[in-house]
Amino acid sequence: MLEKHGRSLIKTVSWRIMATFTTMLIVFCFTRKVVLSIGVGVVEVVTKMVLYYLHERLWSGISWGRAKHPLESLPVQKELSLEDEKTIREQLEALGYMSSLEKEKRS
Amino acid sequence: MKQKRAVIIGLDGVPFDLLNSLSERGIMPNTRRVIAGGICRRMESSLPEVSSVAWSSIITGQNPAGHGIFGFTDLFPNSYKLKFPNFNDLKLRPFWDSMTGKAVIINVPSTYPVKEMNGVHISGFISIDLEKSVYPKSLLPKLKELNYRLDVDSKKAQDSIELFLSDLDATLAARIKSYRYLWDSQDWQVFMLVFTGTDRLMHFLWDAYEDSDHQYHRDFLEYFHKIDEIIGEIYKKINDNDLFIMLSDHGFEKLNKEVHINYILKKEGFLAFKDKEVELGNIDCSTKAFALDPARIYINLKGKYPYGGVDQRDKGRVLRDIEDLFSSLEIDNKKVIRNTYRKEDVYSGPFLEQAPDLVAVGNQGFNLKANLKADKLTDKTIFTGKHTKEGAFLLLKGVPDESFIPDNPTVYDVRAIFEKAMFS
Repeated sequence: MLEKHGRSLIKTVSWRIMATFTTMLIVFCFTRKVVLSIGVGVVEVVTKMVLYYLHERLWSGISWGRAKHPLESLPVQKELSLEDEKTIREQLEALGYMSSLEKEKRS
Repeated sequence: MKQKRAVIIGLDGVPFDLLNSLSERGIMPNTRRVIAGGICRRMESSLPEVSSVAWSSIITGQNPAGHGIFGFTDLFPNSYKLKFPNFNDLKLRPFWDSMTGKAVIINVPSTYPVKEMNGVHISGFISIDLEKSVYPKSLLPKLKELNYRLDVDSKKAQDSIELFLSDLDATLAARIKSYRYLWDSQDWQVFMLVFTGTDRLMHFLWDAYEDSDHQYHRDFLEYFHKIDEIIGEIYKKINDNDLFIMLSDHGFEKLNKEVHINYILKKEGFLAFKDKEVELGNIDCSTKAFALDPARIYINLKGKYPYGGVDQRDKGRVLRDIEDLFSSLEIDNKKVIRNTYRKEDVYSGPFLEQAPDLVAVGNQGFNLKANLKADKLTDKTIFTGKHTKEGAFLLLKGVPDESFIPDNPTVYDVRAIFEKAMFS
């Protein structure tokens, strides 16, 4: 995920402050009631902050539409398995590229 | 005019002298034609002169301290634990990653596991699993249908040379079918194909090459004749302005004796173990130096290794002592070691620290080995041929300016020659 939790939370709060003031202003314009406007703002600020955070985290997990980092497809280096190591040793020993006491002598 | 393309044919281990001799004798008539129309130079291999290092140098244009591959084996940092470097450990991108055109790369050693690239890549020795040896994966069914084989089963030679020869032929036949398919089906700018059977053959049957009465002499020549037929087939297909390169990664010569340098180090008090268990992890702190195959010497420095016993200030003296020991070593009145090279004199680059402190190169016929468990100085094994640092070859046709090619090229020069010839 590109977004860390802290960044999503700060964005949630900043957006909520802006959006709630807008909501309160709209309610006041229609009703001219200050208490009602603040009440709607308080209810909204709690519910929508929770919903926004969940929505943000959901999108953060979806890679569709996101530009790929050019190095993203490089394989991650892993240690060889014991079986792989055995195969490599055998091949190297068969050609004398790795020393072994098990080599048979030619008659 | 058509876009300039490049074809690179690798003949693993084939010496300059053998190539010229077989060409002159009519065993490799197509190669003779290529030599006549091109520029053929003796080329020096990497240090050490093993395929993993040499081919990594060829495809990156750098020495081991630049690309990070010092041998088929290496040690994990600050430990005696052995690791097997692969394509993921190559610290530089191969030449095909810096090209805009597509490349088809077949059987280049030490390029396993394959990575995403612009074209087709089938990795070479040591490739373990076909699934991780082929890019793109969509080619796998076709390669399986063509019975593509990653390498010869060299273990067969221990049991029967006939079985080994038959396996060589089967591997070559599948490689040829696969190259033909990819040549025709892919739109490429560079086509690189390496034949590694040549190296396998020379390891086991160099004596057959030198002795015309040897029971496998004809088989040896026949294999090279088959390789030559493919060279002829490919040469006919290229255009006049295409770049054509043939090369080997190291030379070859007769092997008389295997010489165990860790045995010498043990005998002369440079290497000791805590008890009877003879392995690197059980090294005693009195150890001054140890070797990894083929002849890479590491000073057992304090702070660098878990049981390091040599102070940094004493390193020079220990190196001198080993150089003196090696230079005085004789078997049957013949000097065993031709030369020793300190890392600062032969390597340069960001991975110098990882390099062996000293690399030894054996004299004619002496194959240096780093068997820790050897209980005698020399040994005679099934192998009759050994690698040489000198005497690889580089053959070019279609190079616009001959000054691109040094008089005495090394494997480190190949990439620059290729790029100048293609893009300048």
